[in-house]
Amino acid sequence: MNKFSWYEAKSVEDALEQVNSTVSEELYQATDKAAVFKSGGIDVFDWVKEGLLKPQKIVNIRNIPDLDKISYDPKKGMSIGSNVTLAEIASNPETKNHYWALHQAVNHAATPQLRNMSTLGGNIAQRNRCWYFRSADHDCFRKGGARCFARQSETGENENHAIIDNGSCVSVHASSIATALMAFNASVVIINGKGEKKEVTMDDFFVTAGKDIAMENILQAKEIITEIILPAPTKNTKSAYIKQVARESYDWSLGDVAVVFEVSGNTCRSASIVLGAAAPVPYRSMEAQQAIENKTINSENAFAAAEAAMKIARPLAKNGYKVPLFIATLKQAILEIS
Amino acid sequence: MEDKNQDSKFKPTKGLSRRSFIRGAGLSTAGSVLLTTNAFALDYREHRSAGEEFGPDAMTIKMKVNGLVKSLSVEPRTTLASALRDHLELTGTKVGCDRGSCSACTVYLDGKPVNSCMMSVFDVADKEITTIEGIAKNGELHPVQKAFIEHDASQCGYCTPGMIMSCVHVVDNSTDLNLEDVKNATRGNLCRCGTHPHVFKATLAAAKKTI
Amino acid sequence: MEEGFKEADVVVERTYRTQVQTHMPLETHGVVVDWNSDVMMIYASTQNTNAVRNEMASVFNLPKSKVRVVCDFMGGGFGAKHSAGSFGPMAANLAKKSGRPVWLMMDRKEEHHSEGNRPNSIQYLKIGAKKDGTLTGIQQRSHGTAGVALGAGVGRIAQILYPCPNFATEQYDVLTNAGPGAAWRAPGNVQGAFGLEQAIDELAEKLNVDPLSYRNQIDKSEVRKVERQRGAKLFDWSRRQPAGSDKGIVKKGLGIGQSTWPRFVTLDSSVEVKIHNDGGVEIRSGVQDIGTGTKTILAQVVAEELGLQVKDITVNIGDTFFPVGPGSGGSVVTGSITPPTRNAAFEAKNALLKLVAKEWKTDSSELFIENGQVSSKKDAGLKMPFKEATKLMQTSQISKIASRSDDYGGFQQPWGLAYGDLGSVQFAEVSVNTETGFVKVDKIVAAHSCGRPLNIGQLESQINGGVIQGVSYALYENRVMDKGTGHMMNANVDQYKVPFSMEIPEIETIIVEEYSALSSTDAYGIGEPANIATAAAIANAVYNAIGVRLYEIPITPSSILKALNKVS
Repeated sequence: MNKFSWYEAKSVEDALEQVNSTVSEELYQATDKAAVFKSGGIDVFDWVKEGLLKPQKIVNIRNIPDLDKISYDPKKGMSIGSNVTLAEIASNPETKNHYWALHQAVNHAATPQLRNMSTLGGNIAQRNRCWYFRSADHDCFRKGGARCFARQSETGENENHAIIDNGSCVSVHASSIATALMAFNASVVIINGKGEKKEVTMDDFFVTAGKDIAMENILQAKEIITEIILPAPTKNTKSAYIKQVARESYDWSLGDVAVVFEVSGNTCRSASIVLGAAAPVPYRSMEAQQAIENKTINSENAFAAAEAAMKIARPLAKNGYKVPLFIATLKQAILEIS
Repeated sequence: MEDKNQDSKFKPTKGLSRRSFIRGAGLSTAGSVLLTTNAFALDYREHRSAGEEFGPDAMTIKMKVNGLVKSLSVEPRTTLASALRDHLELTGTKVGCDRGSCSACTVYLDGKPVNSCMMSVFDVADKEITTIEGIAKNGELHPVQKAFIEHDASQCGYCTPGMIMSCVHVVDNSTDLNLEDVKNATRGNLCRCGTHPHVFKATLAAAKKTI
Repeated sequence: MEEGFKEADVVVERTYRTQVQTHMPLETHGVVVDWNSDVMMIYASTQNTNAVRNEMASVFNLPKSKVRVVCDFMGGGFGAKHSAGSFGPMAANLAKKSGRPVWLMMDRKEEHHSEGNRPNSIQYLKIGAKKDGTLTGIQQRSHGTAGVALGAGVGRIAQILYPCPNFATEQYDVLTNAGPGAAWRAPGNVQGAFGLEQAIDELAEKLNVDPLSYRNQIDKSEVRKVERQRGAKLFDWSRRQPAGSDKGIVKKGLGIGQSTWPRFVTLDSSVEVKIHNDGGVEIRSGVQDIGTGTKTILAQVVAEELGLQVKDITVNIGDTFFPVGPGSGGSVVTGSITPPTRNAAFEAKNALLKLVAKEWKTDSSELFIENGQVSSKKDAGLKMPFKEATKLMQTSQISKIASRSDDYGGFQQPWGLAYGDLGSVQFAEVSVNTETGFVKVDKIVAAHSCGRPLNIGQLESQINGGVIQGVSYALYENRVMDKGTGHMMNANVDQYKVPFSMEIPEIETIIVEEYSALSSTDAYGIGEPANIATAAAIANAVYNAIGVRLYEIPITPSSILKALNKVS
């Protein structure tokens, strides 16, 4: 790692004053003069160790008071501070009782050790794991380069990559927890350097590669996530989450699915269906939602919804298997709700 | 066990052993540690460090490891794994992947298993570190350690410290441990030799105190 | 060759593909070199202290006596750590120039890139048999790349596992600008078995016989016959159903794979056994412990010979200033180093017993040591603790050095220092999800022989390790190279996928004791045999589950879904 100084932020305001860039900006156009945030630090240190990020200063936001609270109110829903660790969410009984899909997603994320270190804010803000993006030897779009190595039909190693919205960058978002959060219609609370607070839905938090190749989310340099809010479920809210991985012990998602339904009896009244590792950002499948809404939850309808989700899939040379994988997984997730 | 005088370790000695040399090598990569005079104590008890900037050069900090307060001269970029191995000579903690993917570097931070390779030593602050060297109490091995010996639960041994940290944690924090629990606890621990079946057996045996 | 296929009633002709697999030992390659004194001191993570010493002496034109390699412990090698590499000479040069010790360890990426791999293979195999099953011809042609190195052959397994009157093989090395291959647990044989054992299964199916019964017919090995019998019983082979007949989304399948490995021996295997006059016993040898438990078995052998406990024996090995030891490769160590260890202990014991005999005014041939006591066969009243006996020495120690001798029967293989055949038979049970394509290995039964088993716990560990690496080879690991830029894309631990806890199948081992009375311990290694047949057994089991055969590993969700025609 390069030499950097360490600023121990005492408050959100203090932290915002110290920081001058984002990891994404710095990866896109290196100045080597960046002061960037670090919370759990897993993704930031990974970039620094690879030599792709050479920060001048690391602003440690991990110990800022009050960002590590988790609370649940039957009316308001759940608030999870950005510094709450994945392990804390995993062991939280309210998450398990009211947000089953999130509970499942968190429990299948990373390893026990990493769950003790990683924070929720860092998890949804981490960059994708495309091995070309992560390689110092491949100057790809996301790093200000002129090509996407993964999409090359003859040479691209794209078995883990996107099958939807893969027109520019073909990476898939690294956070499988984000899949579940988006399905719950969670929102992200962001404070900027002027002390202004905004609440954006997960759908609006993520930025597609087509919109801004440098970014995967809307966070600007002088902005910080303080909490993630999940709306309160009703007594008819049911959810499921399934993640498919090459290696069950721990692995990056090959395809994960979060499904949150409002049901009456065995009928889906409204559906929220999000696919992870399908597109460069977590992908809400309107097609699948429409296909299952006001339908009985059964094998036939679940399969139809899953097929509808894959209608827009345009696989690359090596990831065609993701289509049947998603169909099987989404079908199974929907049926878990019945 | 406590290193009372950190500086004495850095004096050149003849006939360096491999271990003591590695410690020295780590320091040399960490910059001109010995020349640092403006040492600032990031004391885990006395000093709240918030609102201050440290580094990038090495400085002396204090850290509680295995129940003892140690001071060491480190940079913000010094990982906890490097601080333990290269500065405090606690070489039981291993570095396998250096990216949080193999968990050979597992230590406890306030009792919770973490990857010491993926955190700065500055992340420790007032939290307490437990390493593999701190698992045996008063010279008595932990039941998991005894069971690892009894059931031949190591081959090359390089994953063993991290594996034991994971297994001790699950044994000490569970009741009615079953095979699934042990597998879950060691999900992040790479053993390239493939010695897992004996690790599972040993840990279950330790939990049942049948060794 | 052509004659052989003319006689054939059935022929199987297929091409099999195996991937490049990197060793990824948890401790990377590296050394510390201290060259301040007359002697170049090298602390190495190596599985061959002797080879590293010889290489460094040769590179720097030093007498071997001026180079000392020490390896107390090492974090895994699997065949890749026999050499000083390029890092050894680099560190030594830097040590010389700087006048300071130099620490040079690879990082994980460098390790994946440059420090060894199992070459890939594209194997064409044609096997013919008569209606009655008699093999008439085996033709093999393979291509593989060990990058900038040689060694991509697929071994001799197709030639020797099943005797056949007509056999031909061509094995080609394809040189590429990729990291060099290195020995990897049964080099060549693991690739070769994947092809051969699937072809034999396919042949059995064409002949309409059970694959295990067919092996009973064509396999002449006595030990594998016993292994098949015992393995089939423990595994319950009789529950195997016709291929693809299991109902449901997740289909079960059973498969078998076999292998052979020679009893390799390295004559450069010497041990010094010392009995000190304070009662201490010490073993010294250059041989290192790669993690197989060499230290433990040496202590066991000496303890048994001297009538002492294992804890009474101090083992100092992994130092080239001690008598030369074998490299930990080819599964040679146990078979090479334990006989001289016993012989040296025997000679040291005799020397000690002579001193006691003199004291007791009797003949040393009447004396023996048991439970730490020197006793007499003729006079039960005569007893002397071992420690007391050592005080009878005029000098401070008895030291005996023994070396591995040629075996009583000589080496039968004309091509090398090996004889006979360590047989292994493995059975695999898998579940295949036909919707998602995921394969899980549920169970492996591994039946093996290795002469006299010395330490059952360690033996099981080696078999477990071989099997788990076989599971990894069959389903998970794969060096992903970008063909456009020539870079390895997954040179890390998270994306170079190997099994962790959840991928570990239930493993049951069967040890068939097989004595040949050709050395003083009659023991042999198991490291390599344990790794050869696993991937083949899994591939056969996958076929049995889904009724479609996969000719390429790793078997992934992608390859399963393609095989099932689910990918458009």
